[in-house]
Amino acid sequence: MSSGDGKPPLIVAENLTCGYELERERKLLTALTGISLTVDEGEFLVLVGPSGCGKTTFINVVAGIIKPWEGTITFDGKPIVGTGSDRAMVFQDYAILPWRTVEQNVLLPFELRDLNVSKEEAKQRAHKIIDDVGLAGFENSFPHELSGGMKQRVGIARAMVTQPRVLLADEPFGALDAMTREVLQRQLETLVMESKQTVIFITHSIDEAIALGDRIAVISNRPGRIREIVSVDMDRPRLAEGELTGHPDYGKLREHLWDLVKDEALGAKVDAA
Amino acid sequence: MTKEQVRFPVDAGTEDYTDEPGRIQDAKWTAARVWRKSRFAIITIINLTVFFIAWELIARFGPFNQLVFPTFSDTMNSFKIGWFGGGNLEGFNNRLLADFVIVQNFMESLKLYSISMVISIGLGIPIGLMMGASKWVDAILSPYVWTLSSLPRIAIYPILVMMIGIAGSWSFFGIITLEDPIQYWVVILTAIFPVIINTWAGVKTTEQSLINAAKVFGASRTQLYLKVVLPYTLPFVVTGIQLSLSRGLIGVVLAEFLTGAQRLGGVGWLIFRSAAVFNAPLTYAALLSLAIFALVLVQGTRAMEARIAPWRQQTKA
Repeated sequence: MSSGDGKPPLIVAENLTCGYELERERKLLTALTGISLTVDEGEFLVLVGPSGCGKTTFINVVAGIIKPWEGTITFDGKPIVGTGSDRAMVFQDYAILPWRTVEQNVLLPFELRDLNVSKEEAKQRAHKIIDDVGLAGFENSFPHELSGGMKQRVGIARAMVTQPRVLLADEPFGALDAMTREVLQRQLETLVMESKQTVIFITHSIDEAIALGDRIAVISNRPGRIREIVSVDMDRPRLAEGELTGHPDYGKLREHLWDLVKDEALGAKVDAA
Repeated sequence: MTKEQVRFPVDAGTEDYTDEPGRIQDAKWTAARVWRKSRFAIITIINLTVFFIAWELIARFGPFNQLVFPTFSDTMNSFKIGWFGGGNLEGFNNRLLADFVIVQNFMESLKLYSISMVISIGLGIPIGLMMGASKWVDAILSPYVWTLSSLPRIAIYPILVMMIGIAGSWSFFGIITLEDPIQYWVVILTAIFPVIINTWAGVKTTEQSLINAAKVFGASRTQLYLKVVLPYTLPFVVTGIQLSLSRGLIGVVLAEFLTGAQRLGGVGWLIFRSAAVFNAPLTYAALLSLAIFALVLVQGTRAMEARIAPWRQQTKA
């Protein structure tokens, strides 16, 4: 699903270098370097790579909470300066506010930004999305009363309620058990197929990457570079019974990705030792 | 693809969730059930009864002189006279003991305690918040805060005496007069630091992921504090207030031990003085009053914490 239709890509990163400061050790750490990447409107891009390779840093740059050191990144033709309502994020540890009910959590984006949405409409949209993610009836529950999977549904609802142009997902299912994870993967696939949502998705799981991604960018060890971008040409939905693992390309693709990731993961180990 | 298929179903296992509450049955009042429901109350009553009877017997027949170890009944008599008056003091140790003597001293202590606590909490929270929010304020105040909070507070008492003196009174706009201002200093200095430090810790430990999330969804600096940091800090503040309330009580007794004059000096003073004149029943009665007050206070603040931050109960368990 690359830009064959002539439309310019939604996100263009050119020669991006970025990192963060380790306060305790008083040194700057380059998280990723020389990243050039485009994301088309409606594309599902997955980033795979070993821990600490800068995937999260990249997604934070797109979100606008980290400034790149070098290189440029544009969103819809304009350089990214700060956060914006056109970009929303789903977090690995849910990051929903424990003192707010499900509904109040989902309404947070409307409270924090003036989006020109009336209170009634905001409420209506919140209820619609809460319903869509399967939390109808839990509007007034508090997060500590919900399971992990349900908490992440709140996280997804909060991100989708403002209808952002791109959804950034930082290992959203990483902390969930295998069963819940699979259920949520299927639902995300369906939701994205329906809404043609642009997504940048981080994962450690090759299977998750193949199941969800239109393209998979394999990132090398720190400082992260793009090793290879692999296109996944499989029809959707892929997660229906047997569709994915039974696909003729699946085995080859998985092996290829594993080869790429394996080197990096082993490299990371040596680096850490 | 129909709209219906796009909807997320709820988690596996809760698919048949309804608004219907679970089935409620009337349980029979069997002896076993009464025991299960109220065993804590029953055990406590038996426990205390045994304790008070043992106290009475040991005081009457035990190895101690009743001059220093009074019987439970004498203590309760002093307690009754001190709180409700109307006692017959004939043939009874009446040094310091008079109708309503505990109430009067208790009110004196309560004034000292409540004013000092209001000041400690009212100053401690903003100081803690500012130290948590601003590196500058933190850098400037933390040497004093940490030194004073780790120093045994009693050690600075001589300095306070030199600076403020023991007696005297401070009047504020004619509205309120504080007798023996040094007592207020002692209580505030013992009570304020838990509030400051806990509030500071709450701000400092606010989860980074919550802050990041708020930032991504567009929070300004002000919104970040109002909508994330402050609510996150609230239960820490409550813990700080809890600690500070019990520390403050120590401060009150300490202040009254040290500076109680020959007038209404508070419950702490009454405990100290009555022991000095060997009126042991009154000492015990005053001590008992203080214990009951402290118990009610601590249980009250625990209930307050459970109401303010129900989500913390879960993580604690």
